[in-house]
Amino acid sequence: MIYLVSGGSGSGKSACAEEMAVLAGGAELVYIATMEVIGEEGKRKVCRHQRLRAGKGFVTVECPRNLQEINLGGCGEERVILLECILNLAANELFGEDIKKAEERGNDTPKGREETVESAVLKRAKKAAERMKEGIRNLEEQCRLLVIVSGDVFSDGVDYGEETNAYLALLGEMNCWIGARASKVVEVVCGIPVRLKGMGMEV
Amino acid sequence: MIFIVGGMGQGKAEFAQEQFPELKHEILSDGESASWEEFMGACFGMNLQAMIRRRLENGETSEALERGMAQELLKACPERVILADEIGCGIVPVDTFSRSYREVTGRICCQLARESKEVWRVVAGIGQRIK
Repeated sequence: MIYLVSGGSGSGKSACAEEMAVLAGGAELVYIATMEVIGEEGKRKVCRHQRLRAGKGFVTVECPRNLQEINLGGCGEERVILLECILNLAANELFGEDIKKAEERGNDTPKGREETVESAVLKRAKKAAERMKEGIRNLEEQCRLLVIVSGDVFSDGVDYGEETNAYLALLGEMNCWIGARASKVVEVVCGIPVRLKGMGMEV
Repeated sequence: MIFIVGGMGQGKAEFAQEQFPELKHEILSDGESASWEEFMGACFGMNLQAMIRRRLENGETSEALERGMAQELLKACPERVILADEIGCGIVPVDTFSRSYREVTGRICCQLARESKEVWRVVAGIGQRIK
């Protein structure tokens, strides 16, 4: 079973998702962190999230990409997984260094038929979407409840160019795909969970 | 407190005046131009996000604003109506200031929503009570 939690920056979506995971009452709480920590701001962000989670009983697994490779063991009947978050995961899957390098190594496009940047990034996005879906299915099979944090980054009307537009399209596709599979979808607005799908206003 | 949020240009002020007719007699304090003291004392304030941005531009830290701003607003006038633009629903900006402005605005809005007795979200002129 999947719950999807979305919202803008600073909307309180993480706190809401944690509450949902904790209230589900599983014997085992697993937090999957997808953020790659870069610089001081990244460190501060991680510290803040760790403070928020402290004392709630989460075991943290860091996994910036390739969720399909996670094996938590056991049957997972009493396990609740909190996956945070799709925004970072999509960025890592699409722009991550390992992936770019692998693509470059495998680039055997014949001369004279070189692909444009646009089609290359769209191709990467398609592969990233496949990996992310496989990864989410993999996690779902290993737990009773998978709470997924995503985000709303679609509403500023700015054209950011091919690479970022491909990222937005990938993220939009993932939000729709997860939303279709989720039993509950909430959008967090100023810390308040607004129900989009699934019964019950309780988080 | 009554807290009204929504994207830019969604008709929050019009909605507020329609929903709460007593506001028509109140002076609307605008976070884009009012001083902090004036905004803090007003019963009807809009553009809270602009007030936050201006205070950050004047050198106050996001940590200090996160600690004190919501509390000061609640204390000065508990029965007030505040309007704020939702600004956190776009691509995370590359620029540090813009990033921190969005984050701290979101957190202050969470604090105010927590303490408000009513929270409304306005989309395309239509208000939805979310608390």
